[in-house]
Amino acid sequence: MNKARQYYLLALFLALLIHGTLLSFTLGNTYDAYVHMFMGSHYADNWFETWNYKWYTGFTMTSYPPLVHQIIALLSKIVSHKLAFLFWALVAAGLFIRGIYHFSRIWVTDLVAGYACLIATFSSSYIEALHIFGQLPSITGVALLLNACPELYKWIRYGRGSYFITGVLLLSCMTVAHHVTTIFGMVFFIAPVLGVALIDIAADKVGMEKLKISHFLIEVKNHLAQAILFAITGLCVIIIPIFPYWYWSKTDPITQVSIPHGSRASFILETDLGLVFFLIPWGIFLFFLPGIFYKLFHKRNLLLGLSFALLFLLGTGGTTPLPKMLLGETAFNILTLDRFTFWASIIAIPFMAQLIHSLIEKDLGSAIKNNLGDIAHKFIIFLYIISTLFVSGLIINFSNYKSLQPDPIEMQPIVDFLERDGHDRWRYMTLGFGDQMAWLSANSSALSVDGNYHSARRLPEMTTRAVERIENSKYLGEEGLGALRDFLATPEKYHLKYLFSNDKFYEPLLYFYGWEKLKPLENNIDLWERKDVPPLPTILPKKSIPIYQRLMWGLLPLTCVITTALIHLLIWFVRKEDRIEMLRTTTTYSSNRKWYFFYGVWAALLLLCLLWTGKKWLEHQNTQTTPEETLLNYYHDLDFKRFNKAYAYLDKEDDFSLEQYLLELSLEDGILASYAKLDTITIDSIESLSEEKKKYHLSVEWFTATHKYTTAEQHVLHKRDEKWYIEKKSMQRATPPDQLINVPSINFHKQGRRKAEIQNTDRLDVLDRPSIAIPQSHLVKKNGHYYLVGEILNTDNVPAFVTIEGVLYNNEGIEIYRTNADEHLIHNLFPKESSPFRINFDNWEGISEHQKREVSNFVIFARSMVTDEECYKFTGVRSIELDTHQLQLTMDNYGNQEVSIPQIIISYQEDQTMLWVDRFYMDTGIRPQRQKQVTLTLTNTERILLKKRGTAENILLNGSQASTRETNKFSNGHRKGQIIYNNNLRIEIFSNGLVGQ
Amino acid sequence: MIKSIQHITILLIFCLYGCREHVPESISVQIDAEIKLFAPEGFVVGEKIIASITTLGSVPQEATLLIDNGLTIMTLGVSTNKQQTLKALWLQQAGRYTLTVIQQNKILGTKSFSLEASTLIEPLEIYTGPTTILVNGQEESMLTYIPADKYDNGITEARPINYNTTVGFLTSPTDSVRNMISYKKLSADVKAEKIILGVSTDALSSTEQVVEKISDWPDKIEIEAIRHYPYADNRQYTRLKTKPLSDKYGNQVADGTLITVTQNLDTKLTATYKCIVIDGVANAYLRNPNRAGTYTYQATVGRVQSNKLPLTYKQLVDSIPHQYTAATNELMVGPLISTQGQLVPDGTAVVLTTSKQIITGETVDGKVILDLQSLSETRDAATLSIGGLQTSIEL
Repeated sequence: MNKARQYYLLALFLALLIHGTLLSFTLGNTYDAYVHMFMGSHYADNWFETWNYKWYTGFTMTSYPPLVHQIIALLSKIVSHKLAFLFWALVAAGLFIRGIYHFSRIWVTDLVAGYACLIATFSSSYIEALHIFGQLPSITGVALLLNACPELYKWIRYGRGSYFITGVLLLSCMTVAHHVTTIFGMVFFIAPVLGVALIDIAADKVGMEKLKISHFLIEVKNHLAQAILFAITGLCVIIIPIFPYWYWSKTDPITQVSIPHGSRASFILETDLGLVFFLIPWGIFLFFLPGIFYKLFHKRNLLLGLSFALLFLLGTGGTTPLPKMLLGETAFNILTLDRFTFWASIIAIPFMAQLIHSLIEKDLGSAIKNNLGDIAHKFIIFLYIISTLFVSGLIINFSNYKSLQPDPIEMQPIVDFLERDGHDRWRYMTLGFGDQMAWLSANSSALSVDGNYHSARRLPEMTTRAVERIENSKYLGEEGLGALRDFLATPEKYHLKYLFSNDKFYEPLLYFYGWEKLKPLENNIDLWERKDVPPLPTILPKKSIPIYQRLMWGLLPLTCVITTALIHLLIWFVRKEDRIEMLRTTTTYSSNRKWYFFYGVWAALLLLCLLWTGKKWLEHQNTQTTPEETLLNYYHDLDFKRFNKAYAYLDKEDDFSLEQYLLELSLEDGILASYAKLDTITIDSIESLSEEKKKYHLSVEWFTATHKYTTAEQHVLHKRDEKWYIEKKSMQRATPPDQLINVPSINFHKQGRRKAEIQNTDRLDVLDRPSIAIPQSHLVKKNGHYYLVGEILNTDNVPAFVTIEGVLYNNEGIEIYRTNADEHLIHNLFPKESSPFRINFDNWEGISEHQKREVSNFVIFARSMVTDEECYKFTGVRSIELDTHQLQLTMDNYGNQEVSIPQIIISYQEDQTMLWVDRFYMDTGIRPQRQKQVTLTLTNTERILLKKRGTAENILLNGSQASTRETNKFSNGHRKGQIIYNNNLRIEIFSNGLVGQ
Repeated sequence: MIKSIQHITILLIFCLYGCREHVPESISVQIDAEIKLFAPEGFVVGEKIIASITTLGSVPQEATLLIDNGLTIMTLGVSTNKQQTLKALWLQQAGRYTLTVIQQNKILGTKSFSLEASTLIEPLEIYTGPTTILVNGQEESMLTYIPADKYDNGITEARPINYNTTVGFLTSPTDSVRNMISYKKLSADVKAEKIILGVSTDALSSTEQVVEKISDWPDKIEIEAIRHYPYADNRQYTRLKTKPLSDKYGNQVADGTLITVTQNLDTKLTATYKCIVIDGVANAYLRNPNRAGTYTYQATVGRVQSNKLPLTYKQLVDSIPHQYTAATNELMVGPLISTQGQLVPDGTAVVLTTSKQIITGETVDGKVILDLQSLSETRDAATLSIGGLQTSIEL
């Protein structure tokens, strides 16, 4: 066995061993592995069913080529989904190495192709694609592409039809695995391969040295028939195997807002994305780029060189405007560009191998030995090997340094919950699960309103916003949270009742939107429930495709694979393999002095970058040289809860310990302390009190699930021993008056099903809906948007959870839009308690401007149900001072629990007609028997227009029309304390709050 | 004359027979199959029926039997001249059934029969709603009974129904089942209580039904001060308590009823607190104000307002000792001693006001040091205030 073969087999062995072993550890941390397993689980349940109900409100499986998913489905009949994924990943790895070997043999010698296999095994782009991204279909596609290329080369070069058949069959497999690879592969891989075949034919006649473009064009003309045949066949191969996919794309095209992706960012401005999408995939290749370019732009390899250059450029994303210009705005915003870098790095492998071969055994190595000595030569090789292994190890362990996913979640408790007591009769949602949400979907039959395959979704709440998934909405800013709020405010629209939260960040939003936190599950995932949501209908809508398409989708992919395998097996026995005749070049590395020069320049550039990075890193370590740095780092450490590090920035002159500091921090609860992320810090002004003492006035923006906060902070900094320290602020001094608090309270408990039976709830266990009244409700307009404002009163003797839905109509009584009251409402009302409410119509998707102008009437549907949720009503508002538009007040907590997030709701009434409702959150919590002051900016109501005064006819209470008598009975009653705002305008203040969760 | 009559008669008879339309004769059709039914347990729902389909020829032949109960049609493959069993599972609906035998698109025969409902089952199916009604006849509840067998077929026979309850009925429209239904309405008297109801007939009974008579809105509220520390210290809580709350009929108001208590200084609203009723009584805890004065407290729920309760709070301190240190540019305020001779509580707010600035501090152990470095160079008149007590100072 020759060396090339040995290296090839060694690479195959190492690839299976290393990647197979490692994947079992890295699989759970990848982005896409669970998604593919989820898709596989669908086919395992119902092979020919193309409609999947589990995500969004259903989506079609024909939106993604099915081969890999179907293979996982088949294998999952024998082993688990994870093992099935792993097994196919090994097969793909084997195919990949084989593909590299045979693809490389088109461009380099057999021995170098052997080197290429070894390099490919440790290729950072392959490792990233498999162990970080989990892109198994893409890897399968590339592996098949690489195996198809030599077949097509030989077909053109030697004219044997059998190569055409095997090549086309491999292309068909590639299409059913990953169609994007086929489409772009034709351009970037197949075209250069066919081109180089024609070049070789021409070179056979005139010799490579004398080869000109005219000779090449003559061969193109001679092989025109083959080209046309290939074009037609190629088209058939792209369309027919996944025809249902093209049919779906044509009939139901993607019409959503572009979803941001890191691969489109500028890698210079966003260096962390540059790390993931540029530095990592290129890895050690970066150092050898000049050598790679040098060989790629050799005459014979020119076509491939152009492909490589284009792919390299496209892979740089938004770093330059060129990729966008080349792809066009639409394609740029739809495609993820990391695939181009991946393909470029694959193309580079043979030429990288050539360089390394030259370094180890050929002219480059000889030159180094002659000039620097044998030891230096061995050291350089050693350095290369160690670097390769080091970089590979770093990439595989990347998730240990930079968290890409939340910690692994045990799904069984969630699955158990969904499958018992009919909980799967409603939809659910997850927050903070990362890509593990797909794993939950794979293991449960319940339906989720969210999903992880963006091309297939059609829900307007998601398609009109630049959001990937709802479950990670906090990372997507206002767009993401806006989409989440839509779902939380109107959960009945999609029969959404349960929410599993793995992130405390969302708690304030969930609570104030009327969701109730139940007991956490055994895996410490918080379970939230929304009351009064109807279950899913028995029959759900679905999009059916013609039976022939379902048969195609179910049968063709595996047919392609089986046919390909059988044909290859047959041909392997029968066909004599044509050896690719390499046209050796005389050009070497060491003989070209220009190459040394360019390489030197490149090495210097890289060194400079390295030094610059090192300098930045060192500067970053020294974090207190300026007051600005000190403040920034202090706030960053606070934001990431690194309190010990934050303590280091504080001035110790006052002699307070870390313990004291941590204690004071732990006592300070509130939306900012516990539920906020730091967004920006702006220095408003600096007062220089002395050489070594400065006072900074900051505006700090915090990002919370409910809204953005801006707090004004003042810090005094002292310089001691060349470092700046922040003067510690004193905590609130006031202490509560009583050591032991005794406040009578009441608890309610709903028994639920009183008999221990699995049947539906007995009629006798269903409580009547509490009586409610809406004393007033009006349609108002502010800044061009419509709102419904009013007041709801619980007239019953039991606590009520209320839902208020507002619907706007035009003159003809046609509905324009409907939505619910969200956080501008106290959802849980005790007997005889009232709350103002406001329903916002300022974010309605799909409604034309013309329709918005037609709004003329409204109806309010209010419904209630008995709640036993613990409600905390032991608060008050005092020290109320009104100054023009500023309202200063103090909220007092006289009860025995901490109010983590106090909320103030203010209603504005003019001549007893409600005009507006505001809600505010205090930024810190209030412990028992303590109070916190806040200053609120009131709304200027002069620009609010009362469009329609509501009557009983506009109100439906628990399904029945409100009566005028009842409405009037309460409309002028229950006047609590009101404050005169100006002239006829009065404001009422309501306090509410999220009690320590 | 007689001859004329004879001629006319013959003419008339001729016309009669001549003008007569040919009336087609009705053709009697032979029915090819006869369906006979045998119900061993009687024609009652849930019992099997044996059907035999007999044709003229005695050879068994394949045919289709349609079982139509007026709502659904079931199709069954049968053989003629053989007995077929119609399963009890198919015969659960009471009413009229039609059997039709079809062979090669030709109806061989039909047969109709009726099935009666089965016997009444226990517990009797009762519908009660609403389950809570306001006292004093403001709302009504209704108890409805629909006798049914175990397959939910209504039972039509009239039978006497006994409605049993702890209170009497105000209306009694029926004591027996008519048109498969029987109902009783009830409304509440003035007493808030739980009504337990039941229905029975013959030896069968229903499960317990419950209707709750609930109290109305509170009639009047009276508040009194239970604990009152009469100093404006912005710290202690004044506890107010309502007298037992009841509606106008004397029923205690529901637990959890929310009461709002407001605090006013003259006509200005200074505080609004929430409290809840437990066992008819609400306790409100309101923090003492930070300024001396006479405050008026009032509780409200709905349209009902309580008495106005005035409470006076005296000044916490009589004087504000202070000392300015030019060297350090600091103002030391305190020790602040309250009127009972103790240091003011930690956290008592001390405010220094100039025409351009306000500096606030909180006391610790009765003292506070205000850093005046941020004040402008030219200092005009300044005022120190604590809890409403003000004093002018010179810096």
